[in-house]
Amino acid sequence: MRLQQESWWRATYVAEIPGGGQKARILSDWVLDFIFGRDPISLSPGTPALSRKNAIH
Amino acid sequence: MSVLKEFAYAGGRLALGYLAWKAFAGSTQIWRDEGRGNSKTLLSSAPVLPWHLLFMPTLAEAAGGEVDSPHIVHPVDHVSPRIQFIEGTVTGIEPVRKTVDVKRSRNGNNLAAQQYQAEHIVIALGSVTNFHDFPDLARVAISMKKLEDAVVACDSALACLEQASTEEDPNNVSCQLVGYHGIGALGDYADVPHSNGKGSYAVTAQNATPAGKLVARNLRG
Repeated sequence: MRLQQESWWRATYVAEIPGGGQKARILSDWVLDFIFGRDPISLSPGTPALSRKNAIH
Repeated sequence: MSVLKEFAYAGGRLALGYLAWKAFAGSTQIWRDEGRGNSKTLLSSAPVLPWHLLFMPTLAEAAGGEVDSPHIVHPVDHVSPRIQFIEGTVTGIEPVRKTVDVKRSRNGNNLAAQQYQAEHIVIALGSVTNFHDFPDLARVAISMKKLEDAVVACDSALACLEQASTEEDPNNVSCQLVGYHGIGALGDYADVPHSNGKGSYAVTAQNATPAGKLVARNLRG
């Protein structure tokens, strides 16, 4: 069920993204994520976490 | 006054007196009109990424690390070779005469004002973040409108997970996501602890999610 929903959303995104090159790049990102897993990194280390502890004073 | 051949696309924050192109509605409309073979003119202040359009629905995926951020940004001339891009601030639209007054600018420098006339004017308003008058929400929240927002959201989520992994009491850490992008980001962030190889993140997320610490709320709902 979840796979179906994700596939539908991703198909919609790819259909709406302008440009064949951009479609291919997004698709390749998803395929590579599927094969190798995601690798989220922090581009600006030191960013504070916006947790309740920090946000409410 | 310049007379444009067919279409002029203008949009965004007109009530505030200037134009900021919100790429999803506008770029999609241009893309769909591409087959008509008409000349098009895109009017935008494009304050963040001049000459580029941002595909906003995938911002949450960029924030979650599913797609590379540069891959959701499109140079204007790649969308359609027939687009003429004019950077400036729309100061007025006359629907009867079909003219658009534009205060020209280039790289932040103001140029002479110009009036354009077109056979058709398409107004793509875009959107701005609605904080629903919640006190201090605008100060602490991360909106999802720009590429920088995706980077900040990703960094903040990772910092939040780092903080959660060292907290003895997981109740001290919570991350609340709201709105359309919040719901989308929730799905993206939920996999982050498992994908970066940090076991402590996974434990924290598993403990936190059933307790509602990672919460998505749709304020419209």
